Amino acid sequence: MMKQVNIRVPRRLLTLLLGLFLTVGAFAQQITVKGHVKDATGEDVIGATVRVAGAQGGTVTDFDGNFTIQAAKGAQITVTYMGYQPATVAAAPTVEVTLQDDSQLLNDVVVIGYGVAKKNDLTGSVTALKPDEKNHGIITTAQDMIQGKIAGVNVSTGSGAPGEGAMIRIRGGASLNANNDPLIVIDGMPMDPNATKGMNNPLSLVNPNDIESFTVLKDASATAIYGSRGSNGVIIITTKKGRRNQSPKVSYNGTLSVSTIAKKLDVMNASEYVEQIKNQYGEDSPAYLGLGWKQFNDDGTPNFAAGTYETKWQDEIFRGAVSHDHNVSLTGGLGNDKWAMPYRVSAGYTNQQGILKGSDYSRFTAGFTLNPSLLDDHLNLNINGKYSYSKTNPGGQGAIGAAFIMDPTRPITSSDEQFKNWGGYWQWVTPTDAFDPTFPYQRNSDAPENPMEKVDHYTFNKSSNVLLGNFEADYKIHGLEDVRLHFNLAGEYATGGEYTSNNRYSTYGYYYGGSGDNKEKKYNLIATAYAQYYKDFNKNHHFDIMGGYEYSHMKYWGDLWYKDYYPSTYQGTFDDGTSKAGAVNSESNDSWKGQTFIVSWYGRANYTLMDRYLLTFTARYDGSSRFADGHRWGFFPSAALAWRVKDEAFLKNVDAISDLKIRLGWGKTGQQDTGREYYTPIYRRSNNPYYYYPVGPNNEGVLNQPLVYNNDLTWETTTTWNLGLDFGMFNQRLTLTVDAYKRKTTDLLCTPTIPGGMNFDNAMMLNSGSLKNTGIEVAITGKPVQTKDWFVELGVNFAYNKNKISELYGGRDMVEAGMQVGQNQAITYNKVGLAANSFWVYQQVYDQGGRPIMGAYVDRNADGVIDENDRYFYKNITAPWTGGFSFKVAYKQWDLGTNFRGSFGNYVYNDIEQGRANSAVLYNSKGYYENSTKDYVALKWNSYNYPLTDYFVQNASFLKCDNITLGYNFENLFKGGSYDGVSGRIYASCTNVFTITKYKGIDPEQTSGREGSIYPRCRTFLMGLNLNF
Amino acid sequence: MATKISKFITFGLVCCATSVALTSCMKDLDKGNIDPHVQAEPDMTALYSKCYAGLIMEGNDGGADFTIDDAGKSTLLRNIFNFNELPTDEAICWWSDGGIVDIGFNQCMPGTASLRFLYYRLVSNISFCNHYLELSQAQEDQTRLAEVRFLRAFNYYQMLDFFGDPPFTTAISAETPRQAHTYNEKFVEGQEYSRSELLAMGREFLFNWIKSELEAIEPNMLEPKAKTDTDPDYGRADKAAVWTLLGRLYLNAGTYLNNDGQNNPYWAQVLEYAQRVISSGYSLFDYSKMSSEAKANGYQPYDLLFMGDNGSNGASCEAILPLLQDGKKTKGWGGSLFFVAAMWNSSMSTVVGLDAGTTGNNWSGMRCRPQLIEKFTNNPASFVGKTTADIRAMGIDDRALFWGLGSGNDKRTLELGDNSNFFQGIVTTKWNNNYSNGGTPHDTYDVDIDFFLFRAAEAYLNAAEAALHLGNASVAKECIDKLRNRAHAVTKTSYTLDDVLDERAREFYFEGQRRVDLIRFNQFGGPTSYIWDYKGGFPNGGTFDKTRNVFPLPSSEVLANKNLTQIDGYNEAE
Repeated sequence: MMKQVNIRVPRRLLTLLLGLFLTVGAFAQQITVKGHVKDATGEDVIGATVRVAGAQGGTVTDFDGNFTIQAAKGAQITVTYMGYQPATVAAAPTVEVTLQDDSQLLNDVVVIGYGVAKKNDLTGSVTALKPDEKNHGIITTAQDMIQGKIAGVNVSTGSGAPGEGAMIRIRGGASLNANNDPLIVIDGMPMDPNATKGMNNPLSLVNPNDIESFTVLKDASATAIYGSRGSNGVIIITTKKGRRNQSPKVSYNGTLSVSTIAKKLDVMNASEYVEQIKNQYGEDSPAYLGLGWKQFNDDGTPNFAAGTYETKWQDEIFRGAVSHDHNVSLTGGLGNDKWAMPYRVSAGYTNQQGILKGSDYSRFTAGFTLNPSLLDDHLNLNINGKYSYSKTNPGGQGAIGAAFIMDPTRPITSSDEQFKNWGGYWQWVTPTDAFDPTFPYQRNSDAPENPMEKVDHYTFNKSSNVLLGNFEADYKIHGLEDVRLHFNLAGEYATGGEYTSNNRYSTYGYYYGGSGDNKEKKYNLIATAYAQYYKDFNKNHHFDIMGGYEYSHMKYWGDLWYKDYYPSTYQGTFDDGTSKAGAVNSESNDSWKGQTFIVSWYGRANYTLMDRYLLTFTARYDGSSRFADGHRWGFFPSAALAWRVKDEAFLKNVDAISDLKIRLGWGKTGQQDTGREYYTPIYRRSNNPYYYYPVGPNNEGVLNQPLVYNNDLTWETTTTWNLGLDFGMFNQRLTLTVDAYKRKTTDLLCTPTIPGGMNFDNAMMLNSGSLKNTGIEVAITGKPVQTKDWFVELGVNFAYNKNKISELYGGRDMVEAGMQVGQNQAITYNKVGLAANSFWVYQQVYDQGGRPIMGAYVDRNADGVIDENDRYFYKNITAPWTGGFSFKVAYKQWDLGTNFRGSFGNYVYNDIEQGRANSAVLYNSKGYYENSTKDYVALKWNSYNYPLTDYFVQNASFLKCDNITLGYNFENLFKGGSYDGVSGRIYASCTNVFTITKYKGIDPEQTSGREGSIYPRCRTFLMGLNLNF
Repeated sequence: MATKISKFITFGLVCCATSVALTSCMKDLDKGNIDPHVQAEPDMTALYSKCYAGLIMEGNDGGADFTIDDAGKSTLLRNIFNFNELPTDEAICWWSDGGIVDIGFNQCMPGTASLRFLYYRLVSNISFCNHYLELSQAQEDQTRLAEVRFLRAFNYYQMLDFFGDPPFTTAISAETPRQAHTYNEKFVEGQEYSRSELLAMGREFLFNWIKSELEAIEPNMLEPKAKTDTDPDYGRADKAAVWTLLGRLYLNAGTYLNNDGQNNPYWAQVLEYAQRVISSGYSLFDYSKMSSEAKANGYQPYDLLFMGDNGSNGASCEAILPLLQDGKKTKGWGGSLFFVAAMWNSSMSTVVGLDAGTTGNNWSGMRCRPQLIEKFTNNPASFVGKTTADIRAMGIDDRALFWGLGSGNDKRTLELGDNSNFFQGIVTTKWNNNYSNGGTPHDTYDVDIDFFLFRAAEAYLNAAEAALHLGNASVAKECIDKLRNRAHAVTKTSYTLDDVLDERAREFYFEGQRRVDLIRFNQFGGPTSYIWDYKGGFPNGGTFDKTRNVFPLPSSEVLANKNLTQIDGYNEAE
């Protein structure tokens, strides 16, 4: 029987369309294969799918795990079953197949820096994670897939805005002021951590559906190979690929979701507000009389009976948002015994509405991967191309803060003449002669803005295009197969822009309107080449060594313009008497350009003794253009030792223990991301002609500002010790990984205040001080139940990290850490002996009812006066304890999963409460009103001058249920003739289900440690469908 | 064999190509800065402009020149107002901006956030001047060189006046700056001194240093000449500016050298330099010098000093050091705009009934303490409920540019009440952006009002004060009468020293001079006879320690520079 006979028409069409052709197998003798499938515990596996490679059709195992199939003798027979690794056997009259759990098996290959390694051979702290395709909530970007999944990796989105980026911290961050983001490597390409203009998030260019695996390198013995950029850990993302000789497979994944606001600020409604104003200011007060009364009597007094307008501003600006997401991929492999060409092509489209009206995010991605093996598998190529287009309408985010404070007794719109210039949106206005008679009013610029006007008139949007590609070649030298040459050329090119077009009848561009563009382009090129030599001297000595070179160049450039005009109705004149009507009022232009180069050598040597004792050395030597000659080069060595205890004679035959390994590592990594590209003394020339100082003859007034510089600046260095334990029992059904580490960063790149007059600024980046992180991470996975019908998996991970500053610049005891509250009052400090970003506050005094008394602080040093000497250190913004918990249960075709994420011991400055605590300004003497909550009003505070109290530093520990997902899996749908039918899965999920916290604000998850009026995170209900044709 | 050779050749070529590539890659590390806005070599004209710009502007392109949270608060001018007016009997503000209220209550502490704007502004200005003077190219233009030395001396004068004993340096170097007192020849390293001794030594050193700088540069400065804004040298400091600054230095020598403003050995020098200014090309701007349009529009001479066209309406004959502002060319939040925006709300109007001439008219901040109003009338309550035009019509004094009306349901009071809103206290309409000839300001928001940092009027009052100390009452009367006549205020047959102090309030209120005058008359810190509302933070006024005649160094600086000793009277720790 010719194989082609079995090809179904649609598949052939598809194949032809792609211009591909199928393998023509040799004619061979067909035999009948009888087989039996069991799992590692010996239980029969019912319903497993059995296929013959290259042939069409297949069968399933019966109630006893048996099957019968026709195959050419020696052909590859593949058995697959959910929850197990696929198994392959050669066709023979009788075969026995044992399926292994689909867990991270010890022989799994893990992608590490500049190479791959078997999990069993790893010496460093490396966590590999395959995205759980079943147990997840809404996934828009890659960060959503690792949130809460890996011990010691803390992922937190900045806000709930659609497409928003995340802050990722591995083991708490090694730096004080320099970048603390981990290095992200996508298919061998280290990414630039800075998003281009128009892009929200550098990770958003990868379609999460294309991601095959994440590898997180946590300790220095694993990251030192990335040298200069390895200090904060490395996340390696590998995208999906086709497999050798795989028949073409088309998959579709789609979701449809609805999001709603998870929590609103409980501000007073109109009637509560009226009551509050009446009680606070009195019934005859200007405040009470000036509320938003609907009607007025003839004498101008309000008609109280008719009441006020009632607007719930938060309800007005937020909405139920509908989003959808579609992904299609085609995967397969061409070739024969001599060569192979696996391929994968994918495309995805996401459209995410934001819960703030007018905000949305859409993204189109496309990608392909080709992995040809040529020259008898001596030359393996990996060719990737990815493209992403995204467009974001951030929405009038000022509306969120405005909706908290806008007076609820005002209408949204009004036909009154005075609001005409804002398109009828109600505002606090005053008459003005500054414009022209058609614009007789201006807004009181201190008053809250009408939130709906901000929503409806917002026109700003941004978009970006990103192309990412790499060409990787791996060549095993013919006749010298122990030597491999590897070459990778990777590049990223991105363009992005932000576009504004303000209407002259909006608060954004009142009177002058105006429009502008802000565009940026960048490229990022990496060329790396290394040679690797493997040698097994004998059974007891394995040796391999690798050495390479890398060149990296990143360049960006951009420009912006903005222009607005006097309306035709403007009546004023230029100094020479000509009319300004229609002329340009203001115009700005700017352009910028910058680049960095990094040149590196790196190498690694592995030595394995008796298959049990593993030694790894790595080294990297990096030069960065960010530093001056003489301070430019950094050397980053590491060493690690692992002992596979399981393979010792005394454990080899203990069946209950399936893995026991102890790892010890040491290494140094660096940091060079100063955020600036220069180190030499230079002058900044003023660019904007509105800020000239034309003094003296023939002087246009351009200014030269000497810029602060430090040409002694050099690498920040982090030294890490790591002790790890991998333990597995019951054929890896229970696994435990524990890592303890100690990390010290010296020569911290920081920007402290320096003595005035020494340089050209009062703050300067320099290398000074040191910081320690010590911690422990534990990850446990268990599969307590694994029968033919039931499958239960539990995973828990937690991490403890203690951050301590051991030394600061110039022998100082403390420096400001950056957070300022109230009006420019520093509240977080870095102090020797304490964690970074600790709050330095006054201790609040409370009355008997537990109410904080405004301005009443504890005289902690008992000297009779309250001054700065009474401030004390109270908590910090970073959680020492973080963790995640996942649970998954499957019964036959059903599965149910959930993920929890927790953070314990982090504190947030509740700036919403601080900003609203002063209830004396509900009616502001500048003639406008502000809303607040009943709780804040009950504080009875009447000043903004007391923000430095520990009362606003609130415990923001939380436990979040990130998602609950219920799915149903099906196979063989529309099966007919030889066609197996469609397999797939349908599921429903809820994301951001609930949060357990004592925190009094809206959301305890605040990456900055302060809660202001950020775009709120939403709760999302989602329906999803996966189809495999 | 052939293949082997070709393999070797290929290998060789690859090696060559690689080594060439690697070498050029190494060179890439030197490619440095490609930012189009920066240059490696200084543009001396642009650096010179920068030294002037530091007196009124934030920094390049509207950003701050130094690392601070709010560029708009970083200008020298705004800080001179905050620290010289708010602690006195003239002005008060209830904003919660980083300790503005504390400054108004004479309770500024090392940690008071606003202090850093003042201190680092002065440091920044001095650093830029030091750098200019260090460059060899600076020698090419001796006049500009002298001007930059003048600007540095002016900034150090402010340091002397505000802090007494600040760090002192005339160069940018890796050496950590030391405090002024260490440069005093009396200072012996290692010897124990009290804080007040250190302060005295620091003040003495700075006094002498500024004096010698000014004397040294005087010959190289431009000849004194009154100018308008079309004159190419408008805005440059000339000899008259040096004399005015020397006059200020001598006038307050008692304060700086003896910590007693009345114990001053230099009255003769005060008079001498005042007379040099008076007889230079600068003169008081009076009615005869006004344009016919300005007269027709109902203005008086004093009004024109503070208007949008003051660089061209003739008033600049009085401007010894005008700081430039232009709504299109020289913008800023903390320059002249501050003097309109912070003083006004949008329902006020000028003496001729116009609005502020800018939409930046509504920060609603600075109010007058009742004691300032009392300098103009025995019945200050009579200003309540009146517009500026109404008050002008009362015929008291042209300089009484006050506003007594409330807004809507909010009634204005003379009293400061609980100091919690803009209607508690009379306000001033002194600055506005209108043109006296009815022309259109360049921008609807940013203002064209040049700020006259030194006015000729100062010389008249300095002369009067010195003359009274030297026993020459007739010179004093002549000088004061000139100012009062211009303002259509009644003159007296003779004047006392206290009259001079009050006259300074009337002439210069809100212009950033008051604190030093009160200190000189021993009416500021310490046990004094004169109190004003909220003096020392007491609603009805009280006294505070004399050590608060100077401000502390900001705690951030004391933490950063281990060489520093906090100023006498303030806590070392943060």
